[in-house]
Amino acid sequence: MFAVVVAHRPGEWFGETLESLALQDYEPLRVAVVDAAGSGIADQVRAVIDDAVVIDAAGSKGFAEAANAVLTADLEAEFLLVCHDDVALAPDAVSVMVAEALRSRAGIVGPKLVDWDRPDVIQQAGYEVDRFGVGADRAGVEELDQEQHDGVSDVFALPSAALLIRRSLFKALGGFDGAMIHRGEDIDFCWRAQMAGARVMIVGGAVARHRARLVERTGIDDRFVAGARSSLRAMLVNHGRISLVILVPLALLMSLAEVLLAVLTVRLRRARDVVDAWAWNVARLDVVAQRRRANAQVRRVRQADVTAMQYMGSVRVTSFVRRHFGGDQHGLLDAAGRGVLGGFRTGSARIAWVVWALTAAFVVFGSRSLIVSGVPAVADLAPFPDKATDLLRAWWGGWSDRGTGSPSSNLGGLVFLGALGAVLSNSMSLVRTLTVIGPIFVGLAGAYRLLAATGSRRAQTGTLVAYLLVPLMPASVAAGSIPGLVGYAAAPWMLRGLLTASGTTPFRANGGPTGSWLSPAVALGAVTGVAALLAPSVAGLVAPMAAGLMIGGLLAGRAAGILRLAAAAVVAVPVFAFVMFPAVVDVLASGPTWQAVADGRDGSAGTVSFGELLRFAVGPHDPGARVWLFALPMAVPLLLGRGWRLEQAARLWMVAVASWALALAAQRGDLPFGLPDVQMLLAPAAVAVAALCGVAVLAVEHDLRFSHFGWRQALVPLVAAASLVLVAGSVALLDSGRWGLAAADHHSTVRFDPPVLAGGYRVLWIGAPEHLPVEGRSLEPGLAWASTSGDSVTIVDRAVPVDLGRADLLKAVVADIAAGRTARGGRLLAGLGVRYVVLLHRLAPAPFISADEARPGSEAVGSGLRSQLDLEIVEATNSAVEVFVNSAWVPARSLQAPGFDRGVSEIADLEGRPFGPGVAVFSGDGPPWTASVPDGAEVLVAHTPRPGWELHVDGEAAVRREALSWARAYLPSAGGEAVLSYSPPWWRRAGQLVGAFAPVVLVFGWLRRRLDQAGRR
Amino acid sequence: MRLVRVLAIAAIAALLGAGALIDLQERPVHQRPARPGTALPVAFGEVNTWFCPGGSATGGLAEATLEIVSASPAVRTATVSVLPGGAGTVEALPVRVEIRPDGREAVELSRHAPGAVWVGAVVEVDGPDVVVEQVVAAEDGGVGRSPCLTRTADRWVASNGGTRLAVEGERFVLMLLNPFPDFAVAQVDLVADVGRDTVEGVVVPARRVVALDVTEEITEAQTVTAFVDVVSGRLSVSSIQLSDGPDAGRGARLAPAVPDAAALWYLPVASASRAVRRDMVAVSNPSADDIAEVDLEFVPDDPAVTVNPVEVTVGPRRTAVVDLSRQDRLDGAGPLTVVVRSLYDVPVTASITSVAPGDPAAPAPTGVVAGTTAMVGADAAARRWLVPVEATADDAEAGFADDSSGVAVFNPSSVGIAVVDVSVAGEVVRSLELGPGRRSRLPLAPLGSGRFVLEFRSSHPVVVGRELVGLTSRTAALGVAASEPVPVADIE
Repeated sequence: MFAVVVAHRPGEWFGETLESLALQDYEPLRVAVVDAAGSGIADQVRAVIDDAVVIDAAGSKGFAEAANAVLTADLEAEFLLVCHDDVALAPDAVSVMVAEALRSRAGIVGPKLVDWDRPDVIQQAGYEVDRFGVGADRAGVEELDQEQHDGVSDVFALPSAALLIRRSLFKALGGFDGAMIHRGEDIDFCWRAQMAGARVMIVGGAVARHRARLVERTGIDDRFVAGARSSLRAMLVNHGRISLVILVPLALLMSLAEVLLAVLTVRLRRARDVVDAWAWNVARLDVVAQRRRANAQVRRVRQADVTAMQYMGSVRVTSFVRRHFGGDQHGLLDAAGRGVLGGFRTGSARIAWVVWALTAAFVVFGSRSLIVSGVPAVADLAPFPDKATDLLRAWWGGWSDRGTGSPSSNLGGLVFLGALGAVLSNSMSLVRTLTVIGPIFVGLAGAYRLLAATGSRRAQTGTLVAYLLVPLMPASVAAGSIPGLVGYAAAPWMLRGLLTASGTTPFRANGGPTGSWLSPAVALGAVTGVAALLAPSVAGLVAPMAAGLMIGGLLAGRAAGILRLAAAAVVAVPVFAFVMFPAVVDVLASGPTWQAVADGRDGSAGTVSFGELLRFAVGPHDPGARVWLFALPMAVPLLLGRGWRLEQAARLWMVAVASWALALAAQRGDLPFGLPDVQMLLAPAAVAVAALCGVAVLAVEHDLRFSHFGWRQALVPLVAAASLVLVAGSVALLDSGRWGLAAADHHSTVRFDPPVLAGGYRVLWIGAPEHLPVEGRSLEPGLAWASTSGDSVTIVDRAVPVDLGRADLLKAVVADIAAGRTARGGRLLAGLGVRYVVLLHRLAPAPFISADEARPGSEAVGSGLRSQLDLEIVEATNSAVEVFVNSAWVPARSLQAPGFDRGVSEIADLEGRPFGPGVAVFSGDGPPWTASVPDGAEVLVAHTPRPGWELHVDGEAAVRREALSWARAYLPSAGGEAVLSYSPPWWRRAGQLVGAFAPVVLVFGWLRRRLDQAGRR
Repeated sequence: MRLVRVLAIAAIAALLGAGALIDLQERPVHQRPARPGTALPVAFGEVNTWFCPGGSATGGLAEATLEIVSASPAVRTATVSVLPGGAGTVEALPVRVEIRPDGREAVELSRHAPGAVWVGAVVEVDGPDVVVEQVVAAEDGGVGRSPCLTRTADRWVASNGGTRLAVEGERFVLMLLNPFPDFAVAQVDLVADVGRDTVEGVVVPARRVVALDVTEEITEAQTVTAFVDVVSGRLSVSSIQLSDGPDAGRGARLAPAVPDAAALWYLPVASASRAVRRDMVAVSNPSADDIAEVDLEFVPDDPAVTVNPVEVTVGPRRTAVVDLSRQDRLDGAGPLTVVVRSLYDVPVTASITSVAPGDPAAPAPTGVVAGTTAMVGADAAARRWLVPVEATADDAEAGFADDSSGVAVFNPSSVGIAVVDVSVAGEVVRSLELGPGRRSRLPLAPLGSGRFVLEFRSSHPVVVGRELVGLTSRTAALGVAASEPVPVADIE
């Protein structure tokens, strides 16, 4: 038997390699050294092994070509041990491998490779190989050797660092593919050996230390391109024609995706390497054909039998998915000895997957009506436009029709929802359903990941289940609270970011001294910003969470993380501002306004008691007393926990307390300003409760054993029983299939005239802030108002623009009506284009919401509206709503006689000097609108007069003036075809673009970082 | 570790306990109260809307006319929308009426609604300091006058009507005005001394008036009270009482109905003078369940005179009528103000009717003018009032006699002294101080002659009422509040 060492200018370690061969207890072993560089190492070799054969293979390109030199050398042996020059075999390695090769009739046998300097760390234990020729290590990164690979097993391929090969097989296969330089030759060789019917086996009892620092030695990092070339070539050479018909297009698609990803993450070299791999192979198709013919000569096994041993899927894709979304830091294929899916087959992982499956089933089954029948447009859950382009156009338009109209960058999330709608072929109903159900899964995923740093899947699973069972999610859905749902989705990720930034045990980020808090800070800012794209107020949740963690840290006597938390919060702000750049632009242009986040509240008292807050009973349906049972698992880490588990329990408790305190202050009316939905305010408490349940699992796992037998042990069955009761109680939530959301919405009972012939009109909504279909503005304690444009309310209308325009006039008119100062409120509202006034008494129409849930609001407003001479009650509407139609209505865009507003300097003047309805013009969707206007008419456009609006008649700009002190009038010099359009300023558009791309940049930045980290590993 | 554990548990328990304790306290309620639903006519806005349920068209039972009286130095414009009643009527076009400074314009409603049997109106005036009054003239010459209403409501009470048509010539008509663009439906409960009846489903079409002749529903009742519950929509309601009999007196009286019940009412103009007139205070309890215990307190002009209150019990949906002329305790009290105070806060309504039989043997100007008046109580006070009045030469002759035209000012405050300036056309003609809970009656003759508008400005909210004694008829009404009304319950 010959040991063939392929050496290429070896370093000082080479002596150790040779000595390891010399010390083998397998006596028939002789050594041949292939001098791949022709560097004259014969003396060095013979100084250790005097009878060693040195083969000059100068000019060889890579290991494969050099190793093939033995084919022409006269080496008589049954086995060849082909090794690198940086491998040191254990003294019994060869004898163990030979014995196993003989016993198993194996064609190729390999040892377990361990790290050169740290022999307790496994480096490689064979490859799993997919059908694209890509291999993945069966051992994990930095996997400790605990004899887990010490058995003997068949593998598809072995690394070429040390291969015991039957010489006949090596010769029959023609050795390695010499064109494969440094990468992939081992996979290709073993693949062909499998085709030839040879077994490929790893013998864990044989150990070899492997230095494996090729890049360091050559100074060239061509690992990826060489690997890509080789794997593609192996696929082309070793598969049958029929397989290639399927595999080549698939490989091409994956390569295109990889190129795209690389370009987007600015990893251009990676993109070039992928293209290079294809070009290299295409240029050598003749060689491919030759090798395919050669393969046909040696094939003994059916193609199907060979591919059956391969990984059915893509190693690259699976590894990517698992590394970036599965949470395994070591990659999918790093699970040594567990195969490709081995990582999922451990006990705790199996539990996690089962629980995840049940959780997903729970959510999907609980949402079945929403999925099948769509989401009723209750409260914030406004309908979506029919087409994705409507969303994109509304976002890009730079104008909001809310209030009396004003420039606005609009809700940042519209662009992404529109893009999603476009991807889903305008299935806007599906997009809308996803915006309700998606946050639930995002929140649950965040809850699962929250305690990942602890390394305990049971703790993660416990957190996941607890977060599912906390009745905040059903309450948010039933109340139709978008901030509540977004808060539910974002809170776990925010808390994770804060905990990681604090650097407290066990939450430590990878990276240097700065990276330990910088990276999570950036992530925190990004998560907060992305959440704020749909519900800007959610960003405020960071404050109670950070405050709770800081106070909890002080309570636990660990103030260390406080400074890092503060620094992270500071760093998160510019990242958040980057994502919310359009809103920042709006604030800079118009000044800040609290109305944009208060959702119509003014700081007055609510109706939810402290007990209900603690029980998360903040929806239309009370979850009952069972929620108190959460106190048991929440108490466990305080009672049993030790070390960091106790400290983190104190922090999490303080997060929950801070959240409850904030919600209590808001509900008691103790704050001088309004806060958004109580469901959102309770999201930190919900995630803290869930995390405490997870920490309880850890405390039981790690700390209970330190306690003497006594009452502490009784906690476990008590908590288990409580958990069962909580689970059983939650089953009732599944009843409606909508989480208690009303089955119908006000839009089904309230009908407005289509605006096609109407010239545009506004609808004034008045009701409790939580009942309005859009974010409102405070009217008086417990009552909010909002105005929308046209006959439908959609997500486009949701946000209150930062520039409030002349919306103050609407509020003033309603105040006059409520105070009984006018009996002609209709005339006043007419000047603002309001045609309908809707007074909402309940969240949804009767009988879907009972009268007990009614919030009739101010009697003054209702009585005032009913006392107006020009507001006609629309009969036969639902008892949950009153609709008034304005009989004095003036179209928002109408033709008027010149000087129509003479004598009207303020809106109150309209009461005594109303002007006629004129002629409706510019109806339908816009801007822009087009219409024919006659000579001598003035065009009244009842919206806030802001720059950017233009009326062109036959291409000529019409003279414009401010009319009525709050609207705009245009006086064309002559009649003709008119176009009324709006162009936002360039800087607002620029801000919108930055905002649209910010999340994409952050996502790809994160991806690149993860890819780079993976690459380094 | 033990210390951390104990500290953490103690802190968490303390914080949660504190939260529970804090939440035991009452939560602050900042709900804006509903607009005070005063029965007063109120007009102080830039545009004031008056609802005049009116009466019959020309040739009818009680022909309705409007009088628009300005106390403003500027020209005012009123838009009068005449609302017809009866079948087959067409909607009239609005009429614009210009009122000169300190001027007065009369609008004959039936002229603008040809073919209508009944007519009412909505008058919108483009400025303050204008009062709109409705006047009904009966066939027999009786005249009723009162300011139009300035509000609508869904509940009304019209008390102390009479339907003794055969003996006393009494007819009691409810005028229901619907100024809104929606139809209204009302249910009218008629509670009389001879029984009760309910008229259900009274439909008042949009922008129409409907006259409900109670005489045809309940006959021969000495006293009947109409409780109007508007099932759908809102209405303005007034009542017309015609009478020509020995007990009921002769003439016409026009009074607004009372929209909201309250626990405290002031009737500023009353008299216990048996020789001249018979005043009757009617207290109605619109509640369906609660029994009202009511005290009638009397405030004479003379502070030295003290009169014990009269206690009345009013059952649910009942009306108690107290004839002041039969109250011996009021002997010598003279002109007075009646305070109607419901104990235990059961809300009631209060009004006063006055019947002066006259003296056929010595007719005016030397004798007492026959006639009948009605005035609803005031549940609010104001710092500024406008009172259109008319002083005749007889008033000058009558001087300070009880039965002359005059205005009464009452200070409802129990602590504050009200300093009141009385002006005519912007010139102060009289100033007076009213102590807490005191009243004063001002004869008209010293204040002016002919038709003019009295303006009252007071340092404290007061209540002002007028009583006009003409040559052939008498009228009484509250003044018109020209500033934000203050509910009397809120006055210390």
